[in-house]
Amino acid sequence: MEFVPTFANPNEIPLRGLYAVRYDDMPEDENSWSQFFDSLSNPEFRRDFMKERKEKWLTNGYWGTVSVADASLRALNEFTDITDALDDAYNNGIEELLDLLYDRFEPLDNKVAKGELLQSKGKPERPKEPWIRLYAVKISDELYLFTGGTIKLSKYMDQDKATITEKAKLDRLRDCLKAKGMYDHEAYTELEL
Amino acid sequence: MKMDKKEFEKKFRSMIVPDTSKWTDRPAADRSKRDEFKRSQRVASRILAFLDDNTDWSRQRLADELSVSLQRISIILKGKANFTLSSIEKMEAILGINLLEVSVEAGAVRSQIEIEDLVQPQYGNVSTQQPEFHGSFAPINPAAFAFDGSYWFYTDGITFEDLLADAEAGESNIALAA
Repeated sequence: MEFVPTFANPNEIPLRGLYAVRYDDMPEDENSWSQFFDSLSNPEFRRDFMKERKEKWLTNGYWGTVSVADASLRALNEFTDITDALDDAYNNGIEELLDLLYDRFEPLDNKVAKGELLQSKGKPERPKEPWIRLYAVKISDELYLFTGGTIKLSKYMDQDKATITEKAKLDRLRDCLKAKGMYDHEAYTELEL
Repeated sequence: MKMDKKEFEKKFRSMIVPDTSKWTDRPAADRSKRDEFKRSQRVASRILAFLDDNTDWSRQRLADELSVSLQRISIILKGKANFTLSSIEKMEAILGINLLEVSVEAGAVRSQIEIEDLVQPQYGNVSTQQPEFHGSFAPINPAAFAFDGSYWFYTDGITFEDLLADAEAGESNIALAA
């Protein structure tokens, strides 16, 4: 396992920013960020993803009735929103990036309880959570490890294989850090954005 | 176990490798060409949906009808093709679908998503048919926008529900259909 400085300067002391995890079974020129970036910016990937989940999540009322093409374009818009936000923050300085990460990432444990639905004046209930989710581990207030991102149409992570895969990637990172004696249970926090 | 910070940094630094992915070179990362990128993605998504919905259309037939190579079709469907408006119009005429224009149709969430698309700056001036809204909408947060005849655009401090309320009171030109 290796760490790629995606939104970070590796020469900085102390270490700060967002590093992407490169798992050992990834191709040489890929890492968790580039894989997330490439898949979500690929319309065929998004179409296949949405088609596979159409009946369970897109037409069963949970998100209303959403066509595959509309769902794909919504995911694209959310994807560019969050990647632009990270890019902008980093370009404005590491402090702004760290503020953004601190504000936007939430511990996974809290998120499970936060699957709240939108309650609005008798209007139909619609989940208001975003579809694009980023997963990372906080090592300290200034150091984050990005493990992956996906489209989350389900309420909970264990309801869809895409988010189950993301949880497994978080687990792999934790196990690796433990094996290398780099695991600090007090600081280590699994996050979702 | 709480570990020494210096020891952690030393181990961590030994695991850092340069970013060789070149992800910043991807079209999606090029902010100066974001409009073109989104347009290509929209066209790709609409054509992919068209192919899914029309099983008598293959990629080969698409290539033949558009008088382009299969390789070009592959590029188009990956959202990597650049288009002129005239080339988009030609494809729309052949396929009989709108590739860029967004029509707001019945169905709350469907329309909400379409509208979220529209409030992207690059689609701020997309012409629409006079829309008819059916049913109710959840508030769109944080996008606030207004409809002015044939154009959607961002506004500050106005929610979609405000607009619907205005429409119900006959104080806007949004057409409502119960």
